[in-house]
Parts: sequence; structure tokens; C-alpha cells
Amino acid sequence: MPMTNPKWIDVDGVKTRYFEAGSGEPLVLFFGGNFGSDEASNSAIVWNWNFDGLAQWYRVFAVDKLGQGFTDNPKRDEDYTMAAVVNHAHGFLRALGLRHVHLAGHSRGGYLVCRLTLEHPEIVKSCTIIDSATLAPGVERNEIVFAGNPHPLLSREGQRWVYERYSYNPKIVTEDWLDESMAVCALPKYRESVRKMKEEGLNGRMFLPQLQRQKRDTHARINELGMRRPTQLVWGFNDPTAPISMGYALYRMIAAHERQAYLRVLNEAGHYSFREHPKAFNETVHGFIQSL
Amino acid sequence: MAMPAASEKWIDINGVKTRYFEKGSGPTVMLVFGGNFGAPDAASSAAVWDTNFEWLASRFHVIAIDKLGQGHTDNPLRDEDYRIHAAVDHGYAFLERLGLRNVHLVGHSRGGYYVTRLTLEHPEIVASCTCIDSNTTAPGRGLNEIVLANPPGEPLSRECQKWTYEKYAYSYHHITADLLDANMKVAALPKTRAAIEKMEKQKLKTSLFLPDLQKGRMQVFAWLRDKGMPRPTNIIWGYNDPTAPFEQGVALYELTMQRTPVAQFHVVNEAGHHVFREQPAIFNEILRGWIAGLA
Repeated sequence: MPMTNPKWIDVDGVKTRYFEAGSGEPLVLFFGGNFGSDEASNSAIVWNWNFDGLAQWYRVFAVDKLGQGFTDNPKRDEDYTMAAVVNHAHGFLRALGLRHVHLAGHSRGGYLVCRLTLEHPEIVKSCTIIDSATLAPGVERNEIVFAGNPHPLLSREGQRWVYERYSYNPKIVTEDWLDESMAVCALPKYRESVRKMKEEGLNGRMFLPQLQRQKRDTHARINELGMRRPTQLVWGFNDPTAPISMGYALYRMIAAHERQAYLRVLNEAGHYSFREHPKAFNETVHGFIQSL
Repeated sequence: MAMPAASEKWIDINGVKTRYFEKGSGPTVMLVFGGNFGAPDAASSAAVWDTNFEWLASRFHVIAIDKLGQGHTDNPLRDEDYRIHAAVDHGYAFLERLGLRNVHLVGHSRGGYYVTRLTLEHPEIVASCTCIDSNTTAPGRGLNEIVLANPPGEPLSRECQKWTYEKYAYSYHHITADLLDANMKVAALPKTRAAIEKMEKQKLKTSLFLPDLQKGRMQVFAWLRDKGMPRPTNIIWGYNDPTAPFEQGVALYELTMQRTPVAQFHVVNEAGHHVFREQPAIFNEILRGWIAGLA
């Protein structure tokens, strides 16, 4: 596993873990999911097959989002929202003094980089959105795909089952990825976020409704103003949770107002398209940035 | 920008004098432009790649061929060769003659069908296949007959050809004097007029070319449906193509991806039929990244 030297930074009181390598224009990667999920406890390590390749060309950052990976939980109950996750990401860029960044975000992280681009265009050079049903118009299929997990929630086998369901090729679900997920899962702060989201009901009464409202606001902004920054969508043709039809719908919405809008589809790739074909994915990002 | 004169070459392929451009080193990329011989609305040639050739030649061994009966290449020798599949055979003979292997084929429009056929029939010499805005290859009907109907001026006049490129386009900046100059040179060749005579007046288009093409398309669909492409396949589309609509691109790549393991689809916004001319920077990077990602 190449991502072995984590760095830490305080972002408005939130201890935040990230990885950094390479030199050149900054490229910041945001992974998917959210804090307190009882399905998968992902972290920035999910980029480990892409990170070194991208670092040949760029100064690459992979961030543990608010409450995920090894980054602290939100400080207040009212920050168990995607808006707080976006603010934390913005705070991270500010804390590191990063401007003119290329953003790439997967799944919920794709929503995040879209919001960052809409809210703070002055610091964004380009935006890459990967397999994001959180952002695309329509309904994500997660509840259907993940119904009936035969293993205990957040167990190693339970997470393996979830990641494999997301994937076209189950071989991308490696032991090092599961090791990391289990390490995150074992953190008291992660257990706490699961308790808050599930037992205290923050997921159902705050996180999801707020995200729904924000998603509508996001679409209104894309439709009214456009992205105002070069934007590409990268999609796995076989994504079971964010089907390609959602990718078309999002592309149509973005292309209506953004000149530099591209859709890039990789075959034999599920939700984690960047892990399924790391080389092709990296070249897709590199070519996009080089063309600007 | 015109094609570099120093890269222009000639070769005899089974009695057909064939013009091509060649430059650069590295993996071989062969560019195949669109259209067909005997078309009265545009006399295109390999010069249509002049927006991309030099950039690609700084990274690859690039070949841009004038297809059988188009550009400065001789017409088919026999009436029964006024078929797209005769042009494909000519292309294969050309590659054999040059002894090229592991070729990355890149074809636009009718040239997209040409490279798809070459890949299906001769996978042993092909490294990958890139098909651009090709309603010839895609399921469904293109809109050429509507969009390009009733051009102004005389057939193959400068006015007529400029109008035709404009109808194909999203934006007009790429319809340069250099491009039209190159087309007018082709239009002035007696063999160009002779091909129009064959296709239009002698009706080889409706009696031979189009029925033969339709038969070939059905074979390609069966191939894609049952076996997929035998080599990695890349499809690039201009989102605003007036003649080969985006929906046809989606239909082609969705069909292709069913059974072709390594396949990609790339859509470029604010680009009409000649996506590589309208948006050369992203087009070149898509092609470069596609080939680099296969290595």
C-alpha cells in the first residue's frame, strides 16, 4: 500500500488526516460515503491504486473528509450534514493555502467537489465528478443493491460484501482496503458517529433531508449559472448504484451551461471506476487537466 | 495550418496511386477521415487532420491516408470497387505494404466504419480502434440527408463546401482557408469529377455503394452483439453533432460495451461532427490518454 505517510492538520478545530505527494499543480481527491455509515467505513486509502500514478504529474492530496477515515467527527450535532462536510473541505484547502486546485470527487465526494466549485469558483481550476448518484438527478440504487447483507454490519465480511456489490470485478476489494476499513471502524469516534447517525436518528431526521434539500439547490445553481469551471464526469459503465443513465442526465444538465464539459465512460467498471481501471482513470484525469 | 508538405508521400497499392502523410516516431496511429468517393458536396482529404497532425506527430508515428478514390488517391480501378469495403481492403493492403503492426486506428464518420471493419477483419495488425462521430457505424439513422440538403452554388464549389462544413459544425472557427484550399485542390482533379460521374450519373451510389454498406453494417451489428470488438475500442463523440446525434453515439457504445472488455466512451461539449477540429486540445488528450492507458 503506497499511501503510508499520513499528514495531519487542524481545520477549525477538527484534526484532519490527509496524504500528499508529488509536485506541480495541486489535485485534491475526495472519496465517497459519509460519517456514521453502518455499511462501509471508507477512507482516503481507497485511492491507493491511483495516488502514486497521479503524483508523477501533480501535487496530489487525498483527504479524510469530516468524520470519516481518521479525521475527527463534527463537533456539534447540527454539523452532521453534507454542508458541514463541504465547509470542512473548504477549510482544509484554506488551511493549506491551496488555490487554483483541480478537484476530483467520487460518489458523495463528487457532490462535495461540485459544491466547492459552485460556492468557491475562485479557488477551483477544474472539477472531476466520478460516479456520483448523490449529485446526479434521479434516485440512487444503494438501498436495493445493499438490501440483505448476510454478514454483521461493519464486520470485515460485511464490508467486503458491500464493496463487492459496488464492483464489476470483485478482485478490486483487496485485503489492505479491508484492513483500513476495519481500522477506521475500530476507532471510538467512528462508533460514536454510527451511534449518532443511527441510534440518535441524525441520519433520517437531519443528514438525508438536508442533503435532499441541498441537492435541489445544487441543481438549481447548475441550471441557472452553470459550473463556471471546466467539468468532467467519469463514470463506470456497470455502476450498479449510480447507473450510467444518471451520468447522462447529469451531463446534460452540466453541458447546457458549461463549455468545457466532458463525459468519460469506462467499460467493465462498477462504482469504484478509478480502482477498477487505475491507469485508464489516471490518464483520463491527466488528459482533461492538460487540455485546459 | 496546412499539413506539412515534407510529410506528404506516395505509394502504389495494387495499381492505385495512394497519397498519405507520415511523421513522428513511437506507436503508430493511423488517421482515417470521413466521406466517400464521388460525393458532390465535399472533396475532403487527409488534410482535414491538419488541426491535430503535428501535435500527434510529436508523440506518435502518425499516418494520415487518403482513402481509395478520395483526396489525391486514385479512384477504384473497377466499377465493382465503388464500395466502402473496397476502400477497407485498400487500407489493409496499404498497412501490409508498409509492414505496420500494432496500429492504433482512428477513424472519423465513414472512416469510423472503415477502422471498425479493419479491426474486425484483421485484428492481428490492430492495437486499438477509435471511432469518432460515426453514424455510419452506429445503430439508427443519421440526419445527413436533412441537414446537408440543397447546398448553395455549384457542386464542389468553394461556397458549397464551406456551407457543408458549416452545417456539420457547432462552431465555425475550424473551417479555415487552408482546409478549403486543400478541398478545392481535390475538387479540381479530373478523377474527382470522374468519381462523381460514376456514383451519381451512373448511379453506383444507389445500386451498389449504399446497399453494400447497409449489408456491412448489419454484419458489424451482429459482430458487436455476439462477440464484441477483438481489440480495445474507444468511441469519441461531439455532443452537438447535427448529423450523427449524441443518441447514436450512446447506442453504439452501449452496444459495443456489452462484449468488448476494454472500451471507453468520451463526449465533448460544444463540438459538432468534426470534434477533432473544433476541440483539438481535448481531442488530442483523449486520444493520447486512451493509448497511454492501454500500455
